[in-house]
Amino acid sequence: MNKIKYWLFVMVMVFVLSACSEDDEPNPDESVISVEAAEKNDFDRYLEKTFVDTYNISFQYKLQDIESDMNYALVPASYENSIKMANLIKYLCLDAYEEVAPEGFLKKYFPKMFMMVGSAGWHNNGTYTLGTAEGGLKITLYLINDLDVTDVQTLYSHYFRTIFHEFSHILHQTKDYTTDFDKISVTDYVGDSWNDAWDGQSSLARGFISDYSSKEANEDFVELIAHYITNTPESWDAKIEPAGDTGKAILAQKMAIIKSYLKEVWNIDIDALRNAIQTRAEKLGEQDLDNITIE
Amino acid sequence: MKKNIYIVLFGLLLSMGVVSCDNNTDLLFDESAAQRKTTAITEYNEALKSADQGWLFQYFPEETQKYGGYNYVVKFNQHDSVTVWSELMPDVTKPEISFYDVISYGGPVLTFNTYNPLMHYFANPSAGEYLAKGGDYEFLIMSNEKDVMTVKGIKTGNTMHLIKMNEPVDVYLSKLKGNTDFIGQGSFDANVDGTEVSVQEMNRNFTFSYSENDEVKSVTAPYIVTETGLSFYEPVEILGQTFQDFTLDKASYQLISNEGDMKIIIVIPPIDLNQATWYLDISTETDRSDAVLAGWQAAYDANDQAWGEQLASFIAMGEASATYGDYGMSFYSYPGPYRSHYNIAFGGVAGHSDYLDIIKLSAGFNWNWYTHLSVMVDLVVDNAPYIVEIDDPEAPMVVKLTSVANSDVWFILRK
Repeated sequence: MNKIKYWLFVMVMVFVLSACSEDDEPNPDESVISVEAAEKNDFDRYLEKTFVDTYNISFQYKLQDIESDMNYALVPASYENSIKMANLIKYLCLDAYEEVAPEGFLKKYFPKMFMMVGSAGWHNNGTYTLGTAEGGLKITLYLINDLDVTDVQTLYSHYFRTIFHEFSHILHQTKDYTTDFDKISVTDYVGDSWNDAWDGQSSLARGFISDYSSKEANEDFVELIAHYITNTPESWDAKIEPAGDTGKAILAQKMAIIKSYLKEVWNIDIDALRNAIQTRAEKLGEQDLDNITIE
Repeated sequence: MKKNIYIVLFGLLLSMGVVSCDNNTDLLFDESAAQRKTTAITEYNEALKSADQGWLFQYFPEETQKYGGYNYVVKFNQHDSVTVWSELMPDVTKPEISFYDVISYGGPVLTFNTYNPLMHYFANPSAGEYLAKGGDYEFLIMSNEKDVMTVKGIKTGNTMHLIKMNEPVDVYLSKLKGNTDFIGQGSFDANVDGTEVSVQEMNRNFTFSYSENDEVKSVTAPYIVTETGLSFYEPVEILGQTFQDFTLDKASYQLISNEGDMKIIIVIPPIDLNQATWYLDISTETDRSDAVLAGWQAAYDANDQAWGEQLASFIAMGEASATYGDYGMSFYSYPGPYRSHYNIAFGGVAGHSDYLDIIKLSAGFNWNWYTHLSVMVDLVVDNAPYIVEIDDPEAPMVVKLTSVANSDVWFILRK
């Protein structure tokens, strides 16, 4: 009798446990996440082809302010200037690297997302943010509505040095440079006080290409690359001249490490890269930066 | 006993099995949450595009609505483009076109996501206004009923309305401009059920002051000019009555409340000083009284003491700087010269067509460096209202102001 009860109990349990298994499977054909596909315009198609397909780079020109810091007031970039900026990035940066870097280098290592913002990121003290980078993946460029394509120096200082700076971070984070570089200015790095540590003094004379370089070795490393390739040989010499013999010697030591690092690790000749960028900058006036025809 | 326990246990388990397999529960919605969200967005987008003449957008920037409201007309086109007109634009035949989208972000959000000089006017920051004028360009869509879409600014939380247009934008905007100009030509006075209410107006905000139960009360009402008159941002209670919408009666120079009994009277001053820059030259003896000279002298001495500078003998009044939109009184201090400005309103006085009232509004350009010049501003303001004498009402070049209360205070303004 007890056995019968036992079996009955087991049968009922099986019935209970198996009862609800039938229709609870999720439907694999229906996503619970819906993405509203905005209609693609000519520029979207151009970006898809030039940036996404070729380099796996997402170029965002429609601002989602709702996702940004609400303590800032930002406005979106204009459509027309976003087109110009996309073409500038391609012409002055991607194509220049393409000339000197190994096959597949950009697609693999270049930052994966660009975000355009029309205004500057103004702070309450009258200063503003020119560019930001999140984890080396997403680069935000501000002041797109003030873009002046005839002024190469401002293009460098407002946009391109930020891009070259961030890209160089990705490179050394992927394969680090020799610790010999860190030792050169080890006692002179000032950390977060870089902004006011050099009041009335020259960071250049201590072998820093910019005040920000003096923050730490990694920043020093990438600032040097960004400044070096955005100068002609002549303007570079003029720029470092005020550093004096001591400063120039430090800068030369650092540049020697950078040159050999880029050559040995990435097979990139920094002088060839600089030459490619400078030659392109000279011919900038001949470029049609409004062109979004897909070739 | 044991047998009974078994029976109950079997019974329970069986009932569980039977009940748990009831697959016939009705779904609350026919579609999944994701599908419903997509449908809502599509519906709002279609609704936006359905207005052939566009939508009137009654836009209030800044979370306290301190700039009041501004009218836009937005027309949503195919291919995600939007054409924008604004009552601030100088030429209505030149709208600005940019992109828009309706996205999902805790609800359907209308976003103007590429730059449009008109739509982003109140949102565009600068060194002087790092938070811009607190304007929104992303709006949570709350409802769409009877051709009125109610939205909420993402940054400000302000509730705003888009109203389907049924006439051409140029016709509508010119009607609005007519009302704006008419309302803007004077200062204001008001009464509720016959009880006097004093009114100050600045940046499309009314401040009503009145006594109630021996208590002086003050209430601020941001407003927007409408086709028929004006509307407050939200209902405002004054002397026990609630007001929001007003109809402009041009014949009687009044804004009459649609609900309740309130009249806002537009008092036209004998001259609109803000139409030009006028100069008071203290050094011309026949252009000012001794009392005015004494006030200027006190300001001159204070300025000398504060900065070692010489205060210019001329003072600009009216439109002191068109570039900065400064109306009021501007002083010049040498060497430099450094301009400092105080915002002042010039208005009429109800029942006295030749009186001009002068009211202090706020410190303006550079004033924080020149607060010691207040002595001269106070002299002019404290002796208001003034009797106005104009050389030629058609083309005024010389205006004499004499204090009603103290005839020893008078001065002459020249263009």
